[in-house]
Amino acid sequence: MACSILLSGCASIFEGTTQQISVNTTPAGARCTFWKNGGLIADIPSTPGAVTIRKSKDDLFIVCDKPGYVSASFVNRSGLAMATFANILTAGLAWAVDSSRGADNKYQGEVNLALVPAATPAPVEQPRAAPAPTAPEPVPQPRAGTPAPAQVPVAAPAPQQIECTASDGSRIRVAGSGCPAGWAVAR
Amino acid sequence: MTSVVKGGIGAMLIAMLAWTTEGAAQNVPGSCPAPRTIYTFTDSSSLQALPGAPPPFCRFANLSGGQQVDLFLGAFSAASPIVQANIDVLTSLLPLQVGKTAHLARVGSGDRSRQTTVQIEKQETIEVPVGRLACFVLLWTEPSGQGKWERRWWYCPSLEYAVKYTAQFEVVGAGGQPLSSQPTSWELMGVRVP
Repeated sequence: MACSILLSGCASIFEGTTQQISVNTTPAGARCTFWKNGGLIADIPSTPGAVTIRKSKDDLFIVCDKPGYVSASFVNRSGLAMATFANILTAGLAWAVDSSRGADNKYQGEVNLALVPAATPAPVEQPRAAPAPTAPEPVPQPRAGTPAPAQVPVAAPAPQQIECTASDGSRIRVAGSGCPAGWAVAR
Repeated sequence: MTSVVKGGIGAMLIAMLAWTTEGAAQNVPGSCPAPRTIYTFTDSSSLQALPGAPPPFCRFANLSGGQQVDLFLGAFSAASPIVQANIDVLTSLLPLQVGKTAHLARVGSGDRSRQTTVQIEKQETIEVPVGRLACFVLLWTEPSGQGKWERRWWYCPSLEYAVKYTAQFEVVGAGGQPLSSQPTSWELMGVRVP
């Protein structure tokens, strides 16, 4: 991404009626498909990678998927000086697209997409760090010299669960001190 | 047995009636989950409600990454340019009613044929890992390239957050057949009350 921000012309290779388009994603390892006029024309099995496509006046649509991440899309418009940011901060789900500039009947030669982890409940500005383990509970450690008992699971105490109901008929189980505001303990 | 079934159906009908009459009333701009309430999702990510967001947003900390985000209806980020540019249009969805639609002006484009819309698609009671919730389905439709993105949030007034999300890109293939991207989704798995 720094390449395209700092060096606007990097990585573009144009040869006659075809053009190489490279795609980088953060993180790497995404599968990207290339669509034109509703048809699948190329794909990159794993980013970073590049494909050579035929130049035309048709917009090129790129969709990148990686397990565990939200699909990111990008419209690479032919003949436009600046690309359309297909997905940038619409719902904030796919993030920053940046690339070098194009020219008449050219596509942007390099596309960079930052993928947002899937199931991220809220649009966030940067990829998250690895999720922290939930509900860490202290686990008794065996004393030195004392062999740990084999096959004896150390069960952490389960947090207290409360069944709650709302006036709209909703019913959930919650942990903590009580039901959320507006909810009542189910009978 | 029959009376039990009838009783259950009756209670359900009463609950549904209560929801349809009260659901919209619960959507008060600026109404947010109690601070320090934690929502956990099926991808193991967690959000914690924070105070201090300017209405109509609610503030959350991403416990997995530490970032803060201000969200409207649990879906639309205050950091998003298109949300910033259309917040008045988006807030016109309140009180939530099925059929209401917000037409968003796309940042940097006057092409109305490619307009992004947010529609209150329907009311639906759904089962997610945390329980059964009455929700409004918010449908975000965004033309993109030769196809469109459809994103749905199941926003539940009772929790003041979305408990389910799906996203899919659809494009009409060369043979006229629809092609879809692998759908993305998450659901609310846990609620911890401070």
